Amino acid sequence: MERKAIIVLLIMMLPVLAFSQCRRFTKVSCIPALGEYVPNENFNSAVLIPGDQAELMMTFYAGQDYRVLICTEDILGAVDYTLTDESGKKIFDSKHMDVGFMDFSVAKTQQVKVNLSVPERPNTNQLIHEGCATVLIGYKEKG
Amino acid sequence: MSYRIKNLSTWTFAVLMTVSLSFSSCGDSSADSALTQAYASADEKTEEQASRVKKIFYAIPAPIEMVSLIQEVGSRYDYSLLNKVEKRSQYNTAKSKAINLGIYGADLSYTSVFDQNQESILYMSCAKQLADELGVSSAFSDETMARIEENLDNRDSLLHIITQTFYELDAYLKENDRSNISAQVITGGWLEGLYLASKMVQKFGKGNELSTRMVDQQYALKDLIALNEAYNKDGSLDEVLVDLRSLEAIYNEAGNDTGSVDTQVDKNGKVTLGGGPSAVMSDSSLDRLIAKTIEIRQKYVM
Repeated sequence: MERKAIIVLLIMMLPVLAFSQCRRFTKVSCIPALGEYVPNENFNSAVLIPGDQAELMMTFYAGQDYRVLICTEDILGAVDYTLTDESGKKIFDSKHMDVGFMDFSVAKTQQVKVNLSVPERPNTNQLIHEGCATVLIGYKEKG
Repeated sequence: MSYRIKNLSTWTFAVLMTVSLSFSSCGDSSADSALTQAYASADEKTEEQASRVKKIFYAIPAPIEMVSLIQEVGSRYDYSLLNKVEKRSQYNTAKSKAINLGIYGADLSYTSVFDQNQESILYMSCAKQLADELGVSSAFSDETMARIEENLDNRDSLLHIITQTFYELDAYLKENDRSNISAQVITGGWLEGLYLASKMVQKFGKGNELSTRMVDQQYALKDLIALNEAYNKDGSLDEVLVDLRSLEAIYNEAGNDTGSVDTQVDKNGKVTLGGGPSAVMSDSSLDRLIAKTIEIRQKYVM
C-alpha cells in the first residue's frame, strides 16, 4: 500500500519535475546565450512534443536593441520560429537563417509575436519525444 | 529530455515513468534513453497530439526598461517617489505582498540605475523579505544577496543580477503552479514603472520621449490583461483586472494608426524594425491616464 502511494505521488509530481527540468535547462543552457543583453523578467518555457506550437506576445520599445532567443532541448530537433507583426506580416523566419536568435534595433515601438513550431518527425518506435522550449527576450540600450 | 507513452496500464505507466524520472533527473540532454519500447497505437498518439493546445505566453517588458529611459531623459534621482520600505510590514495578504514585491522590484531597478547603493540594498532586502513571506526564498538566496553586495559598484552587473533574480522568482512561481502570484508581481512591477514615468511627465511636461513611452504602454497593457486573464482561474486576479481595464479604457479613447512593420537591414547586417501602428493620445487623455495610474498605485502601496 505504501509503495503504491509513493508511486502515485511520483506520478503527481511529474509535471512539476518536468517544469523544474525546464528551469534548470534555461538557467544553464539559455540565459548565458543572451550575452550582454539584460534578460526580461518573465519565464516563458514549456515542455513541447513534435507538432506542438507556441507563441509569445511582446512589446519592443523604440530606441532599444533586443535579442530574441529560442532555446530548445536537442531532442526536439530543429525548432522553426518566426517573428510577425500585429498584422501577421512576417519579419523574420528561422528557415532562412541557421541561428537560434535574432538581434534587432527598434525605431518605433512595436508589438511582435514570436511563433514557435516543433516539426513532426518520422517516428517508428511510437515514443513521443518531449523537451523544453524557452523563449528569452534580452534588451540593451541602443548601441 | 523525456518521452511520452500512451495506452499503458496505470501501474506499468507508473513504473516506466519512475524509471524515466531516474534518467531525466541526471540532467542528460542527449537524445538517448533507457526507454526504448512503448505500446501505443499510431491513432492514439495522433489523438494525443491533436488534443494539445497551442501554448501562449505573454512577456511584459521589465520595469528596468522604463526606469532606464527615466534616467536617460535627464531626470534626477528622487527617493521620495518610491514606495517606502517601512510599509513592508503592512502587507499582510498574499495579494498585497505579491503586488508590492513587484513594486519594490521596480524601485530596486530605479535605485540601481541611478547608482544609489544604500537604497538598492534596502529595496533588495525588502523584496527578499516579501519573497520569503510568499514562500519564494530560493530566488533571493544568500549567494544572490552576496553577489549583489559585491557588484554594487558595477551598475551593469547589478542590473543583470536583479533581473535574473526576478526571472528566477517568476520561474519558481510558475513551476509551483502559483502563476496568479507571478501575474501580480509582474503587474506590480509594470504599474510602478508607469507610475514613475507619470510623476516625471507631471514634472517635466508632455511631448517628450517619456510621455511617448507612456502612450506606448497600451501594447504592454493589452498583454498584461491577457496574462492576468489566463491565470485568473480562482478569481484572485479579479480586482487587478478591474484596475487594468480602467487604464485600458483611457487608452481606448486614444487613436491608433494602422500600419505594418518595416524592416531595414544596414550594410553591416543590422536589422531595425520601423513602421507599424502609431499610438496617439490627447493631452487630456494623458492627464487622465496619469491620474488613474497614481490612484491605482496609491491603493496598492496603501
